[in-house]
Amino acid sequence: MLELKKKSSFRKRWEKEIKAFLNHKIGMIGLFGVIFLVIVAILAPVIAEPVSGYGNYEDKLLKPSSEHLFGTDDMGLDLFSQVVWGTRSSIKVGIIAVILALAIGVPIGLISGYYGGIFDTIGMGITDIFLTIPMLPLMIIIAAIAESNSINMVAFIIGIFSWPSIARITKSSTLKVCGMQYIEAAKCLGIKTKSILLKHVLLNASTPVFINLTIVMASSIVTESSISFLGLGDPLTHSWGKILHNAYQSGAFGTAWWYSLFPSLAIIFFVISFNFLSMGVRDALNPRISRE
Amino acid sequence: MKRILIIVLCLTLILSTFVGCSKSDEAGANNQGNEVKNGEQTSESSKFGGTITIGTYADPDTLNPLTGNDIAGSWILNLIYPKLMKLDENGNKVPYIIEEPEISEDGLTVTVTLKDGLKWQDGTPITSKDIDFTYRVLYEQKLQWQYEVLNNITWETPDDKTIVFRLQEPFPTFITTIGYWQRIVPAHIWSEIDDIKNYANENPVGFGPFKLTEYERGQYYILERVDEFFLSPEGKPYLEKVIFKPYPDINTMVLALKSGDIDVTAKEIPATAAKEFEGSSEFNVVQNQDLGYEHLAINLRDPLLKDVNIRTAMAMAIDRSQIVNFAFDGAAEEMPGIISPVYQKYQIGNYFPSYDVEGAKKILADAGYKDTDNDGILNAPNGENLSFKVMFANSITAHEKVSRILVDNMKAIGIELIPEPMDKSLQTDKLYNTGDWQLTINTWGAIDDVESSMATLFLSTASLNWMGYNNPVADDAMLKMKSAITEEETMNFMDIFQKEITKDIPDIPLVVKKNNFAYNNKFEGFVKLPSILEGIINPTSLSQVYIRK
Repeated sequence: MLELKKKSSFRKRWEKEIKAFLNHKIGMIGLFGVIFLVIVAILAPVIAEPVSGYGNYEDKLLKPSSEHLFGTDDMGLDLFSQVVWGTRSSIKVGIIAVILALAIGVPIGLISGYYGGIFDTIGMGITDIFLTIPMLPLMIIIAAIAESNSINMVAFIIGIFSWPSIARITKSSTLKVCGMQYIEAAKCLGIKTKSILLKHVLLNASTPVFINLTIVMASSIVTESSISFLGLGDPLTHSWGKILHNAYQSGAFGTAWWYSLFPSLAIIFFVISFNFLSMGVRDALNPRISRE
Repeated sequence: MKRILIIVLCLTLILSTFVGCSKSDEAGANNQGNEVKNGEQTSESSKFGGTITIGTYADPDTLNPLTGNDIAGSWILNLIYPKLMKLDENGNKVPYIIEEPEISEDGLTVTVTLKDGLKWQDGTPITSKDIDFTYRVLYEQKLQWQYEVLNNITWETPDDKTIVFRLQEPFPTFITTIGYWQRIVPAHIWSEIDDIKNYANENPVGFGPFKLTEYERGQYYILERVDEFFLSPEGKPYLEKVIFKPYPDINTMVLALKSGDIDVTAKEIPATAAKEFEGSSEFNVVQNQDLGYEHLAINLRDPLLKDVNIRTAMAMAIDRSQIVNFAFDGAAEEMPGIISPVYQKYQIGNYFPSYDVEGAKKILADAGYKDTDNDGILNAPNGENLSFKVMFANSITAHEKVSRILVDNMKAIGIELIPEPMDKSLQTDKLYNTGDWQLTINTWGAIDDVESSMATLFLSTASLNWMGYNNPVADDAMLKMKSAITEEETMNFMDIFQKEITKDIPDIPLVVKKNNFAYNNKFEGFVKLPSILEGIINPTSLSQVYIRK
């Protein structure tokens, strides 16, 4: 009986939160944006033929037309195809970066918050060091000296530098949850620490972490663009930053407006979609706001 | 509030792109109004006066002419320090402050006589003692790379105007090499400096059409004309002042030229930008030949690349016409052999195999390379993929494009190339120190005096031979070519050398680029010299440039 009641209240809370999210206009715009990007990424092979190497000399720097929706670049290649395939690399980079950030940030945050003491000092010490290092220049240096420049490598570099914010947030929400009576109760009942950490602490502390993840996702793509723009990305993968890099290097930055406009719009769209989504999720999961 | 702010920010970003475009259109409209002026004639007497502002890509590494070794510095230093020889418009080395040098019949004595009446900017006459001092310091302190040229050479100064060099073996290009590359300093000033190697030389006193009067690193270098300069048509330069402004980013430099902040670029501009200037009536674009060339060098120590069949197939798979079209926007010439087509004399029919995809595939198949694992990449008999990393400096746009073209070209014959953009210094380190590389896209800067410079690149002991090329027959031919006295001998050894190298393919020459320079056409009288080192910013040119009135 008690079990049933508990479940129904849990479901009720979820229903309420989903309803709050559905009513959140900005959040919904973000959600549709993200869904759109994911569809484009999955259907890239159907939407546009992949391009590589070089095209025809006559097709160099053509303005947008019905044949080339976004025009062509200085290698005679279709830009629409590059932007579409760029969505794939962007989402790939985002996902790898987020997984890495979670894999490093969450354990550090959880252990620092739950055990405190020396664990906290060391964990947060490392986090603070990473937070004080100017990340972008460091990532650029690593990308410049790395042996491989594949898109996975770039994603890896971004991932290993994106975890400090996740670690901090995990720690602060862990601290909050640990103060709750049910954790104390679980400890008294002799439940294993691992189980307490994963089932009780992490599950309840996950909301702010989840919100932060969408922000990591958005910022990772900006970082990837910066690295590619500086010519340190993967030369064979299409990414939005890479297109911008090519546009800038071509010397046609002032004349061929389509060359830089479309990848810029794609980056803006990606970042805004994920930021809007995070706003929606944050407001929906925040009981004070969702009640209003 | 935050959301509105984000939206406003995005809109501003998008709008700024369009504003950028409309500005350039406006500039285009203004240009048309100026066309009438261009037809006017300028009278001789009204040529004097005015200032020219030149865009360069960096500050000079130093103002010390004995240690300075970069191109940005050479544009400024060459205006204030003399060399014995200079380039002419055809790339030949001709006397600058000396008369035609006399070389004895056995090739072992070179006599150099200074021109009459030349004086340093402080009024002291230029004498053979200055040349003696400069070369002595250079050799004793091992400065720059030029000191190597003075190995096994002695000299004396019988009088103030003459210096006689004695060589142990013939070296016909000795005087053109040292004479063109080495700037001379006034002995009466420099003999009093203790530590020449680290001397900053903040107030240079030299000889040239201009003297440095004021500078601020990263900002500007102001040079004022001298009262007398023998190369100027009317005895002294027309322009009153020359100002150099460094722009580290080439796109910014192009914009500065467009907006009138600078009048000319010392550094070459991208072909796309050149096309834009060509279409405008306010600017002129000139093109010069490069004396070096772009090439794909091969590490011959690599177990797979050791096989000449792979190298031959690679050479045959490269479509150079696409490199000319896309990487250099048409402003380049294909390299058929090891010697640049700039030097017509040495085009004697020893060429690398030409573009032939089917032929390349056949060579690889005959040599036993088959795609055994059906991944589209050929395998060596031991199963290893024919997959190679090709490195290039991420700051050189054209090389990145070359890499993309090469990837496609090699794919067509079943070889996989993995492009590796990297920092220029890392690339240099791999080439000169670690040797940890397979293929590299590079530029041979300026190959002058072909008959002697081939030995600096391909001799088995040469420091620039990071390919690891070692062929005793070619070595012998290169050394004999360097000391050959007669034309017939030179050509004979050149033929042997070329035959060996086109057979071995340690290096695949790609294209010779043409460099574009743009200038505001209110200026006239530029003299265009070959190579990126000279372009239209050199003492000969600037001593004659004037403003059209």
